[in-house]
Amino acid sequence: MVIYKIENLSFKYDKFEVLKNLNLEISEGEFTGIVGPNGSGKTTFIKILAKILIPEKGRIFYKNIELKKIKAIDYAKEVAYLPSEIKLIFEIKVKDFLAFGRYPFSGRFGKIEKKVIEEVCEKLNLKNLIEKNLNQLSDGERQRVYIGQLLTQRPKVILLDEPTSHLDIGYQFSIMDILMDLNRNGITVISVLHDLNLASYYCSKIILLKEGEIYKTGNVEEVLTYQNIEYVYNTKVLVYKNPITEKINIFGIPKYMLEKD
Amino acid sequence: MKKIFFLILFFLFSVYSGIFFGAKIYTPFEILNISETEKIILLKIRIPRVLCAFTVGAGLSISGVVLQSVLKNPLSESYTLGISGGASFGVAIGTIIGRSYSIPFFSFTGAIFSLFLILLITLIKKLSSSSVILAGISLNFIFSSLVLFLISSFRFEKFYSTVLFLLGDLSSFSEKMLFYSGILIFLIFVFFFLSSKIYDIISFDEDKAKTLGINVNFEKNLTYFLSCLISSLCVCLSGIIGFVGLIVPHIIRGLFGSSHRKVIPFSFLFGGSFLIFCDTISRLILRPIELPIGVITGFFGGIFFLSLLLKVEKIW
Repeated sequence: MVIYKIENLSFKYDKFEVLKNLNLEISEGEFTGIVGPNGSGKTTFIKILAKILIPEKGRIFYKNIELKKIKAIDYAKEVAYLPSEIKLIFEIKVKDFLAFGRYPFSGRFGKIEKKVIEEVCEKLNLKNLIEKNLNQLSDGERQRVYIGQLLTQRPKVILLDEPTSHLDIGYQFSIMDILMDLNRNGITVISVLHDLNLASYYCSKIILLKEGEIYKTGNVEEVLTYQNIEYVYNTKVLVYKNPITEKINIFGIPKYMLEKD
Repeated sequence: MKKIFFLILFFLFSVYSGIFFGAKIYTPFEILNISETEKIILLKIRIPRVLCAFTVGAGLSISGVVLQSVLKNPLSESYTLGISGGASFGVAIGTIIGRSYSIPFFSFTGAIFSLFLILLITLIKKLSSSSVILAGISLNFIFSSLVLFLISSFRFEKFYSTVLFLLGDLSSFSEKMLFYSGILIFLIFVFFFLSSKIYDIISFDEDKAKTLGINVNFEKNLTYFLSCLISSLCVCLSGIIGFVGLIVPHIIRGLFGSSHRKVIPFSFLFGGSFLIFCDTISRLILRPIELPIGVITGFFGGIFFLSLLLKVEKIW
C-alpha cells in the first residue's frame, strides 16, 4: 500500500527554490533513505513530510488523504519525527522527555499513560537513564532516548533527519539496528542519511536528491551506482559489493590521490 | 520533599514578617495583645499589602517562567523584555487622558505594544538572545523617560509618586484593583499550570512541538497575551518591579529541575513569598523610612542578572 504520494511538490525559502517539482511514492513498511549532497533539499523534504513546513506548490497524500487536510494532532498519532539537531536550553529529565510522545493522545489537560513509557524503556533498555537529565547523557545514549520518545507516540511512520550524525561507528550501527528492528516490526521508516554506506546497509529504497530535484529513486543497487554518486556529489568514488555483507560499499577517493596517479 | 518544606516555611515566614514587621516588630506573644488601632493598621494596611506583594511577585514569576520557555531565552521576563516599561507608559497616558478605571486597559495596550516592538526588532535584525534583552532594557529606559516627560508636562503634581512608581512601589495600590488582579492572575496561573506539558515541549524544540500536534504559533501568542496581561496588572498595582520574573524561575529550576509541572506552581509560591520578603526588607532597612521595593529587587536582581548574563554568554 502506498503510504505517501507526492505530486509536483515545490518549496521556496524566500526566492530560493529548494525543492523543484518532486513526484514520488513511498510504500508502507519500507525503510527509505533520503540521500544527497549538502543543500540538496533533504531536510526541507523531511520537514514537509513531518508537516512542519507547508509546501506552496504540489500535493502530498498520506494514506490517500491530502496531508493539509489532516489535523496536526491526528497526524501526530501516526507519524513521529526526530529533528537533526536539538539545542538544549533548559534541563529536562529523560522520563519527562519520553512523556512528550503521549501528548497527541492526552492533549493539554489529559493524563499521561505511564505504561507506554515503561514499555519503551524496557524495549530500548533505558531504565537506568530515566532519572537523568538529557544533557548528562552521552551523544549515543541521548540518541537512543530520542528514538525512545518517538516510540512513546506508538507511531506507524518514523521520520528522521540524520539520526546518526555526531555518533561513533558503534553507536551508528546501534541506532540503525534499532530502526531496522522497528521497521521489521511494521513501522515505516523514512530517514535523511549522510552516510551512503549506512543507507546501503539498511534501506530498502533510496531517494537521491540533487539541487532540489529527484535525480534517481529505487533500490540500493539501482541508485547507488558510481556513475550516479560521482555525478551528484561531484567526486570520484569506488563502489563495490562487500563479499561479507553482500551490500554495496562506497569509498570516496580524494582528488590529490587521483592527481598523483 | 525537604525543599518543598523549606519553600512553605519561607512562605509562612514571609507572610508573618510582612504582616508583623514594620515600624514596630511584633513577637508572636505580642500579637495576642494588640490594640484596636494596631488591629486596624494590620487589617487595613499590612494584610492588603502582603496580598498585593504576593500577587505581584507570583504573577511576575509565572510570566517570567512562560516567557523564558516560549522564547527559549533564560534571560527573558517582563522587565528585561521591556514589557513593564511599555505598561508603565500606558499607565502614564491613561493617567493623563483617561479615567482611573481605564488605566489597566492603557497599561495592557502599552505592554502589548512594547512586546510587539521587541519581537519585530528581533525578527528583522535576527538578534541573539542576549541582544534581545539589551534591546528590551533599552526600551524600558526609553519608556521610563517618556513617562517622566509626560507626567512633568501634564501632571507635575504627580511627579514624585511617578518616580516611586518607576522604581516599584507597594504603598499606593487600590484594593479593588488588587481584588480583580488577584483573581485574574490566579486564573492565568491555573491555566499555565494545566498547560505545563505544552511549555515542556515548546521550550525543548518548536519543530518537535509542531510534530506532536501543538499549534506553536497559537500557544506562543496566547502566552504573550496572558503574560502581557499579568505584567500590566502588576504594573498597575506596584509600578515597575524588575528582575523578580528572572530570579525566581532560575532558583526554582535549580532546586526542582525544569519540568513546568513543578516550575510553574513553585515559582508562583516562591515568587509571591520572595516579594513579600523584599517588601519587608524595604520597610525595615531604614526604619521608619520606607524604601521603594524596586530598590531591593533591583539591587539583588541586578547582581543575579549580571552573573546569569556572564554564564549565558559562555554558553551562547
